[in-house]
Amino acid sequence: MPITLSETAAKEIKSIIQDQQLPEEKTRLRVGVKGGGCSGFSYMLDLVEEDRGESDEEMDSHGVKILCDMKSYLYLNGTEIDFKDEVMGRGFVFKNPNATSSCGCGSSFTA
Amino acid sequence: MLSFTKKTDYALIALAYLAQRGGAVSSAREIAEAHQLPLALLMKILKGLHHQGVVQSARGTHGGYKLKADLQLLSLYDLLCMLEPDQFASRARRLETPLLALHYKLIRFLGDVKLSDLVLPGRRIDVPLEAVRICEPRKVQNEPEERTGDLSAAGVL
Repeated sequence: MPITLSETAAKEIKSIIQDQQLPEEKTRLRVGVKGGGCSGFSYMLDLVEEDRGESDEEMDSHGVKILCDMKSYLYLNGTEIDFKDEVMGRGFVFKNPNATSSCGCGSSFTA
Repeated sequence: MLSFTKKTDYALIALAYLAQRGGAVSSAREIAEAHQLPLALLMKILKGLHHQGVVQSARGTHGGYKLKADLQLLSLYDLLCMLEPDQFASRARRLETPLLALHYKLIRFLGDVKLSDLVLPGRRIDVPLEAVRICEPRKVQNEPEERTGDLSAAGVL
């Protein structure tokens, strides 16, 4: 199952791309997980000017091109990334069906 | 002036753990081991939260705690009042303006922060906007370099 963005998240990413004057056609949202955090892994989001690599999955969600390396994809497939702008701050929420436990700091999970 | 202690930190971690487990019971030891927390302090915190009705306890060999309160109805201010009552009672009377005004502004803010938004997966922020990196185009056989490191340094925020 693909990784998707909510409409709000896609809108925010497009807004960042515009604000940063990044080339729209070349810019991809790289989504991944990295080791560390009190519960094993943490999520990461990068805006990159890269084409799909051999070990990447590529998806399109609401007009935003997403890249994810195969290793991260094992943990992230089926995830919807949402965006919140609330009292607690502004940022991206990962609704990951594969996460089985998370830590209280909110930035890492195990699967 | 307001400050958060380890008690608050550990309480939030414990609530997040219990929230993730749904209706399942988790022992204090299990939570402490999962997150490398001091067991004695955690037990004291959970006992306090049980007394306040935030969690409920189950006795026995497989005993422990599970969530009782609806975290959407509790704010961070509510939790702090349970854990650090001195912060919001006697200290406020000793403050003078302008700190007193700031103190109450902070209390208002803390009252707007729901516990569900801090600890529930799918509700809490996993990647703050400031942590989204903008990477330079990949050079041949080199790793991508960060342009500025993050959006805050780039002047977006």
